[in-house]
Amino acid sequence: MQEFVMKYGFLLLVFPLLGAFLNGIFGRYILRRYGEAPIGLLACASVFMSFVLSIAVFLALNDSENGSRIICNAYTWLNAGNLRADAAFLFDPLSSIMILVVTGVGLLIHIYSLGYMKGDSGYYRFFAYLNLFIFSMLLLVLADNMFLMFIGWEGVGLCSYLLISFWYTEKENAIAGNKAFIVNRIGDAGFLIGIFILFWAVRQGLAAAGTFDTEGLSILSFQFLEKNISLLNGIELYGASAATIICLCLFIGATGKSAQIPLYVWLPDAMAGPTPVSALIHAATMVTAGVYMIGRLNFLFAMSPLALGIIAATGAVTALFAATIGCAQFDIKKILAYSTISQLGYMFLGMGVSAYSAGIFHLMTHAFFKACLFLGAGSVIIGMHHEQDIRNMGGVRKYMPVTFAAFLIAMLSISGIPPLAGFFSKDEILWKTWESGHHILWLTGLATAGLTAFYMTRLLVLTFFGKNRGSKKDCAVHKIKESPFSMTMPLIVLALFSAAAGFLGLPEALGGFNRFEFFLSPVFGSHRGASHESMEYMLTAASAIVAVIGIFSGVFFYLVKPELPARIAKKIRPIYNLIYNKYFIDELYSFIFVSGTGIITAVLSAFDRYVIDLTVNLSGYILRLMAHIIDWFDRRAVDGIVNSAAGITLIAGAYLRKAQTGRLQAYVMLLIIALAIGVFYKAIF
Amino acid sequence: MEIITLQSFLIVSLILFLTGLYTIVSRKNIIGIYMGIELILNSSALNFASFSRFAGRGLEGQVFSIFIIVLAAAEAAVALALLLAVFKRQRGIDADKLNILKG
Amino acid sequence: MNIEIKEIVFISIVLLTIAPCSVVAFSRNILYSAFALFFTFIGTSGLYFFLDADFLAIVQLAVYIGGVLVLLLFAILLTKNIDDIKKTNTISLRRSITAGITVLVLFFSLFFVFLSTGWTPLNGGAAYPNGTIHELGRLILSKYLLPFEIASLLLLAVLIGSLVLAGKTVRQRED
Repeated sequence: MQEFVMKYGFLLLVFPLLGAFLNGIFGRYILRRYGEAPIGLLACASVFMSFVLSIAVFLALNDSENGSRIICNAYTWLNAGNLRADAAFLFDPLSSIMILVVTGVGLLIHIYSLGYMKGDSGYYRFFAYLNLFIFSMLLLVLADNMFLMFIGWEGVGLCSYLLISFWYTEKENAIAGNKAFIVNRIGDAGFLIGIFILFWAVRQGLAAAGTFDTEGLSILSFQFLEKNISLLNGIELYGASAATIICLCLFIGATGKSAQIPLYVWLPDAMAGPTPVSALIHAATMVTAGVYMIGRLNFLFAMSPLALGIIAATGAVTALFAATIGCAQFDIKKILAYSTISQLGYMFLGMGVSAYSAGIFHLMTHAFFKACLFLGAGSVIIGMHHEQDIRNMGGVRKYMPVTFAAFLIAMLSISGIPPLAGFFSKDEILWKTWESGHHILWLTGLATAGLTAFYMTRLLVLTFFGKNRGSKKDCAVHKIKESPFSMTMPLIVLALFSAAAGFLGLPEALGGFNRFEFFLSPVFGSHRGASHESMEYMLTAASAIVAVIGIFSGVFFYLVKPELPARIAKKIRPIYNLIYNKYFIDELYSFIFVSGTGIITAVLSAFDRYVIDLTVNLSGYILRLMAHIIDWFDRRAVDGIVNSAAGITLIAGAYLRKAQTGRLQAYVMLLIIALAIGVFYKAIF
Repeated sequence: MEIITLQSFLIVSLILFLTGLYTIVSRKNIIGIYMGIELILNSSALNFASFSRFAGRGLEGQVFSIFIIVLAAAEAAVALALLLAVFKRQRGIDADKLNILKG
Repeated sequence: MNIEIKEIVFISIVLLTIAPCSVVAFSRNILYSAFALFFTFIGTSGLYFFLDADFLAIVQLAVYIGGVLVLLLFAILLTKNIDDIKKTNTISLRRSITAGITVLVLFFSLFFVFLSTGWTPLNGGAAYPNGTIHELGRLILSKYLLPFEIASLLLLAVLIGSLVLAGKTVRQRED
């Protein structure tokens, strides 16, 4: 099994790439000739193959005694001195969980998309992008070194961009895609700089150690880094520890990709893409890349407590911040988007307090319930004929029972109701936060948990309960019906997972055995702190209670007294406006960056117009003048010479042609005259 | 005074050659021109034979004469065939009228 | 000054060779020219005997008189009307004057050269009292084998080529 993975592990990536290639190149033809079925089948089959292989990898890792890592080295990609990058894939518990999530959720969402995208003219394009995304994400996750990871990192960014502006004929979608792409670029620049500094620092460390022997490993491969991370000790850059700078640069990349403050602004806009995309890319997988990256490089981040502190603080603040915005939004997908940002904040909080396995655990459960929520929302949106405003919904429960049930389970899970998955993972993070002594951050997290429960309840109630408020679509109401099986099946599966996945990581305090943490221990090590069991019980109870309070308040405000929220909103209008407008962050960015860019542009444009254009025009004028002179010379002198040469040839030809009489004897005559002259001359002299 | 010397043969050959040359240039009839050519070939063959005789270096000059005669025979066949072709085309064999190559 | 019989014969043969040349050059009748050529060929053949070239003399007789000249006569008969035979071999006056002057210049120049050159070292010569055929045959089949074979190929080509040329019916031109 292990050997199989070592030899053929790369096939995991080949299938989605093949699917993307076939659908991308021949999709249009297939769609026209054979309809949609083969395209969807091809896309789903390729992901399914990857999923099967992922399970194989998982089993292989479980089998092995050391259980740590299997490396599949496909080929050496770059080799320049100390800079070597292999196209090698690292299979270890962390990446195996990630690929299970990516291919598993990916497969479900592919199946869901079969129904969701039906009839779209870009059907083949959608699946090609989706497969390409799966490929890029797997590349990111399985990469053995920083370079390959960066390729995947950029690849998922590209796919995200392509899929956000999937319906590119509408300007808003195109702009949203651009925004996501540009904001991600900022983060990626940080990431890339981080890689460069890391490479430099390791080289410095090697030089200091006086050896360049890397035991055949690439400097930037995770294996080498993990083994030799102590090389970074004592390397300084601009007066700060190199490790801290590297970690912060990489974290900037993570904030871009995982939508944390300050680079989160693209994610809500990214909801312009098709809903399955939002579920897969902007909730379950891609946005967790930053979390995964920190988990993957945990040994590096462990070297910089300062960076970890910043990560934890950023995560906690983002979680709370996004949760508050989520309370005042009305677009169903935007609420989920802010909720995603908030949950990602949790994960970063977990990472920041070195609770890596908790963070990854939350990543996994979040992938299940958030994908479920998004797919449920998509189902509702389709059912409501592309209505996204929850103010115009209501009462959908009766028409879409399956969707409702799945949505409810996922919503309870995200709210942190025991014993659903979200409860365990969130509680784990909060407990670890408390344990590490960050009590303020814990409090923030707790508040966020309450707010999460509140706004998710609000979303659920406004969407599924009460009367239908779609006044302008009265006639459409009666046509609301449950989505087809291809859409409800993934919902059911995901709902089951979001309910049950928590038992994988049952905290020991509750009498369980944390398999998840144990499984990941080869990567993260065992962080068994001092046992504070009584404290843990209390905190667990606290978070559960907060969640329940959140839910009840949500029910109270929106179901029991639906008129109350509007009254409160009126009373605290300034604050409400602030939250409703997302703290005016977009406007602030737009003012600082976009207007700032505008001013720079204006200055540059003025410079361009008055200085460069002047120079260019002047040189153009001079050239024209010279051209006139040359033209005159050309016409008179050069042409004259050429024409006279031709004329001379012509005249000479006119005379010489008379010599060509065509008479044989005339030629012979000339011949013998010449002969006579020659002989005469020779004879006389 | 010796008469049968190399000079005598050379002068005979020269006279044949120059007569042939004159004939070639002055005649209008292609057959006349052809006769001139034959005279020239004869003169050259004679020249080779006489040098072969008087130079005392074996018979190689005579071999050349034989080849010249062979070539003359070949030339005769081709020339007369050409002549017939020209006659069929021009209804005459006046060399002055063969001037389609006039520039 | 004693002239031997051999020299008398030589002089008469030389005259037999040169005299008809004037007829070839100046006669207005092409048949006369052809017959004059006949005598020239015979004279040349005689001269070959004086050069100890017996084989060459025979070949001269056979090829020239038996072949070339007969072919020539046939050509005359095939191409010209026999009626105005007297004007068959006209001469272009302007060309003949120029050619005459040139030829005279050449003649005197070369004559002067021949007489003034010292040929005596060459005049020893080598006689072949037993005939040359044996030696010629040896040369042709050894040293000159390749030219000999090429000559045979040439004759074959000429045979075919002249058949094609003479047998071709040319379309009458409109003008």
